[in-house]
Amino acid sequence: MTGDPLSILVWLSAIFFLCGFLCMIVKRNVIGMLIGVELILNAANINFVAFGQLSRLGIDGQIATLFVIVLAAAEAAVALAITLVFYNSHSTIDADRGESLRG
Amino acid sequence: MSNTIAQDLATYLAIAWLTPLLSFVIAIFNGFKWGRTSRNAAFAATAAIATGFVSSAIAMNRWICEIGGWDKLLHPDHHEHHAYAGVFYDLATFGSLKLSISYYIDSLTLTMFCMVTFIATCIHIFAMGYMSEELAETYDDHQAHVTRPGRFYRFFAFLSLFCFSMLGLVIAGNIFQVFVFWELVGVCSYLLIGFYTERRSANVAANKAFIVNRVGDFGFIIGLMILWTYTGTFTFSNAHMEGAAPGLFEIIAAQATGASEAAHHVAAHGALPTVPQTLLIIAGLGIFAGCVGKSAQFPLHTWLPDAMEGPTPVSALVHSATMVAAGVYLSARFYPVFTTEVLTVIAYVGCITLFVAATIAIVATDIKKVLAYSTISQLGYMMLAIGVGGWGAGLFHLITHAFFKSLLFLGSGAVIYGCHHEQEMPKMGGLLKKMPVTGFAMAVGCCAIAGFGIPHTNLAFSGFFSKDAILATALAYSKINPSHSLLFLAPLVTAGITSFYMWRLWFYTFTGKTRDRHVEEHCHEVPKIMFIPLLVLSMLAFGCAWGGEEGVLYSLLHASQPESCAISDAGLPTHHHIHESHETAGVLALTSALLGFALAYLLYCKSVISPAAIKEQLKPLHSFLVAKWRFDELYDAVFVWPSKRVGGFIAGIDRNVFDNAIDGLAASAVKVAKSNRRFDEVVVDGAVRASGEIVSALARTFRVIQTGRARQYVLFVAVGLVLVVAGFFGVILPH
Repeated sequence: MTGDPLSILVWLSAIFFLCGFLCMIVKRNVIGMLIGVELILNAANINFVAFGQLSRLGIDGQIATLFVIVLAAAEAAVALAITLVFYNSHSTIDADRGESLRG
Repeated sequence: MSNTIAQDLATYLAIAWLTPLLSFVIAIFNGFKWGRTSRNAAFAATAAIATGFVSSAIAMNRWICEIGGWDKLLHPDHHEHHAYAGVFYDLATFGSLKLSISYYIDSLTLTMFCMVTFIATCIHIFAMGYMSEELAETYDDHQAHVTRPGRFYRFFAFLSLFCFSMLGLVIAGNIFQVFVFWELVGVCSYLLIGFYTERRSANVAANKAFIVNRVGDFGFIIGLMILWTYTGTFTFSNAHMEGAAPGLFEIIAAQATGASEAAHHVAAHGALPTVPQTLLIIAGLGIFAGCVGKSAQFPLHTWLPDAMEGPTPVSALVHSATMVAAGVYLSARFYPVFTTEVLTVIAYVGCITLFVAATIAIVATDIKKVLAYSTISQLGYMMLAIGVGGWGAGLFHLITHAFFKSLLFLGSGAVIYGCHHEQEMPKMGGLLKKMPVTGFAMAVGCCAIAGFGIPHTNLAFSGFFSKDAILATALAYSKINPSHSLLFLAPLVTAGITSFYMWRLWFYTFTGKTRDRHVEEHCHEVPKIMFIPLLVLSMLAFGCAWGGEEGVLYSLLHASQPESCAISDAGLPTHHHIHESHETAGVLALTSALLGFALAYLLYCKSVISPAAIKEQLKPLHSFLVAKWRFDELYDAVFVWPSKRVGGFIAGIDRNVFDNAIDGLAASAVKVAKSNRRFDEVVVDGAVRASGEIVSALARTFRVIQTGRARQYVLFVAVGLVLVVAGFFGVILPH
């Protein structure tokens, strides 16, 4: 473990990702899972920004990050809509109760 | 000027020709809309044919003005043809074969037009009354025992179509067009004979008429083929018009007159084609065979008596006055193409026909059958006249016969109508008191057909003049050719027989006592719409030949007489010869007719000798005549029976050989198909089913991991990712 700012950022990103991943597989609440998804996306964002400075202009990563943020917002909207419909039909937002797609 | 008159005549005659077609189209498309009880179709048809008559009369007038008035017609300076030919419309050209709707108009065409349209108008008016029973939603056909819708409009539509076809035949300027309309009148005749389609006898008669005519038409086609092969044209004549290609008549005439005339043509048109003598005879005989079929001459005469199954106005128009005369008309038209050999055949066919038919008419008891045989007999007279060189005499008789025979048929129609569809004369009798107008008209018709008249005066019935002309020609002919004297004797005797059977018909029907109570009670005079045509026609039957051979009618026909027949005139009497024979022939014919009349009067009116006793005495002869000389049996034995046998034999071959072969083929095909099926079921189906099984087994295996739990999927993704990365860094990169 060094004081190199790049490696710090990569470590930060890795920790964020792990938190998000754990949040996703541990939480049974769909909202919780969505929060996990946001964490994973932001981990990726940190990586974009961190490695972006190595590019020729230095802003490529930041632009990619902007796209990801917009994408995340859209994705959250869709996911919340699905959640709402799921709640309407199952009267719960427990992800484990939605098993009707089992093979 | 000559050009404009041709156009004028063609226009007038085309109007007369095409208006009936228009009325046919209108009636056939609107008839159903108008309804079963509407008389509109009759009005349309009558108006059309009356227009036709007016238009023909205008054309006739125009023609007479062109030749210089009536005086010129009655006293022509020199023999000059006023004929006009031209083309209405070119149908098609196939190589050198040119088909067109063309016209050939001379005084014969005009006279025929006036005659056909006039008689047709009278008959249309008569038919309005006669067919009025058809003006009903339901009509009871007592003969076929069915109830059906009335067919008033259909009848008049067919009559119009017939008039159109008949006029097209007369105006035709080429032999091909004649053939087309020849068949069309045949079709109309078929439709009208079979008008009462529910009656089996009507169907059989219609078929018989059509099939017998086919026999004649076969000869017609052969004639056409020969003429076209050698001359390359169907046109009758170019009517001496400048620049027009020569027609059949010019070609044959040039061939007949030899080099001098031909040289003139060569200068004008190049070498003219010639027809070998033998083939010219065959072509003439072939064309004549067509005429034999259509004009019901021996040996194809058997269809006409059966054709009386049609409604009586049809018998009057189609089967006596016009269509059957078409054969005589064509023979006359084709006179320049006939060789002397063909003319001899024509004369003998006519001679046999007139005698045979007259003898059958003596014993017929159906009023229409008597008239039918008399028609055949009179057509025989016309053919005989043409055959012995009496071109004008034959056509003269054609026109006079058309008037008095349509009169007689309409009279018989009135009798049948008055007696509620009773046609058997033995059931009638004494009808004169109840149907005086009809009886009078029929008497005029009988006088006309018997040929009564006072020699050396104009006071004679039309039949007297025309029959006299024919017999005079026949006498002159037999004087020149003594070996052919039968050609004079047979018609002379038959003139007596004609008079006998016609007066027998009249006395049987109109005098004495009514022999059937049912007829006596119900018999009545016909309505005005029916007896007015009778009166008009009886006037014409009396006076249409006024003046005899110096009269208008004969002069009109004579103006079209061709100069000669093909090849040579040897043996044919000249005008001079005929004139010499007139005296003798006229007196003999009249004597013969009066004898016939006297005999009929004694037998059937005064009953001096009972006809039944004579019948008993001459039983074999009587039954032979009643069986119509056994022609139907003969044809049955010679043609119908063998063709049935041949048909049966061929059917046997079909059934036993071809059917078996086809059955065998089918059976082997079934066997092959069965083995194919087994292959399909075992091999192909097996392979398909096995691959399905495999897919299905795989699916059963993999469905286990589809848990449906989202969180588990995330875990799988992560574990999978870790495994992929680990595999990448741990296994692939080190190598």
